[in-house]
Amino acid sequence: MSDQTTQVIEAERRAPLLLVPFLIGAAVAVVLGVYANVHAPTGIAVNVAGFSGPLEVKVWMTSAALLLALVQLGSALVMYGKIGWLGTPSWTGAVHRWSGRVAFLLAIPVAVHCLYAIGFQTATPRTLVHSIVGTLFFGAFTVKMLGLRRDGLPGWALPVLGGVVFTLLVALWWTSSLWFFTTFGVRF
Amino acid sequence: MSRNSPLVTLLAGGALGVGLLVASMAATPEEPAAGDEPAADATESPATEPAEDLEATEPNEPPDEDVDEAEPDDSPEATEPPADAPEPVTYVGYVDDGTASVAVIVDGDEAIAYVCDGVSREAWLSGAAADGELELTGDQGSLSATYDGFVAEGETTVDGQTWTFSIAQVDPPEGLYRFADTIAGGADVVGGWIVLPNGDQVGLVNVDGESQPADQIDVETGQVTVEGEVVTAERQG
Repeated sequence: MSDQTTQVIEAERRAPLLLVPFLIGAAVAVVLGVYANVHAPTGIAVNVAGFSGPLEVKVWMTSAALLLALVQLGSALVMYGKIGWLGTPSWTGAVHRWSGRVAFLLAIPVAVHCLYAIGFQTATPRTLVHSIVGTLFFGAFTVKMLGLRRDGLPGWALPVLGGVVFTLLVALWWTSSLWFFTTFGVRF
Repeated sequence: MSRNSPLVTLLAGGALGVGLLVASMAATPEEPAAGDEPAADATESPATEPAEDLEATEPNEPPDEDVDEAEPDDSPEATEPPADAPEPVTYVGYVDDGTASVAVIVDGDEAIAYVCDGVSREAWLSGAAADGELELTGDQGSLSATYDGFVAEGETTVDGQTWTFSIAQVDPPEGLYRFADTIAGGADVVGGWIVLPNGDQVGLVNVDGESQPADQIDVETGQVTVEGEVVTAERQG
């Protein structure tokens, strides 16, 4: 790490590079939110075999995504040398990328079901938080992905973006899967 | 890592999402009830009340956004009831003071309700539903409410006790369960159970005219023990 003054100056100079990714991410979040609000919930969407119902599918896919997100957090810490005794194995980056990709792809069907079959729900605090965080998650993920393609971002940018995405996913899981498990029990 | 791989990830996710959306649209039957998966369990969160601010209430409305017409923050009363919904809509919840529960099932232009405090008061009510309003009566009381497919609000009087309530649409296993029959011992039994989104059950069993506390039903099977006999309560609606 360079000295703090240099970092601050760099941050000021380079942070605007995130503007376009941020705008695109914001657009993603808004479009999802508007669609969820406007589209009439159908109560129906494609299902996955092997589970007793769409609820269970979503609960477990989200939980799998959360598990991978924990891998994300761990591998990111390793990449940034925060876990000293481990060093930074060469495959750390690959683990980080692939766990992220799989987690993202797991989240997609869940989100499609939410958007298509249920929509933006405001009736209880849990559903309101879940709806808002759900739209923000995909916006934040978009910012993170597009941010990765920018050279010269300040050093804090990717950790912050990644942390935001991780936090949002935890919030999503908390307000859906954890709620489901505590309300109905752990079932498939 | 190639510079484009994050973009590929995003686009792959987007493509998957759009593909699933299209597949879902294709899988959505003209009448949602006819789907091979019960619409009931498609709700992610049974405690979830579909947003009261959805303007579109026709189940077959094309899913593309009519953004220009949308006023997402529109007030609940602006919604019209999904009266043409082919499936009964169940609402359950506690009354405002929390001392009793209400279940309302609107099926087309008819509705039934069960109000129960789990201790001594209960009422089975029925009547007409139209234009988002329902008036139900029964031997033990009455209930009047407005409903919009997502929330039902109103007041009910049972044995002289009046409660106001605002209750939410739910999907199985939440809802109203009922058992009414003569059991092996010869007793005439009418039991009602309201299964709430938090898993709580409020119910009473009337045996030969006497209301008494009820055992909990097994929401998976509807089975419950009444007077020592295992019977099966049916989910209404």
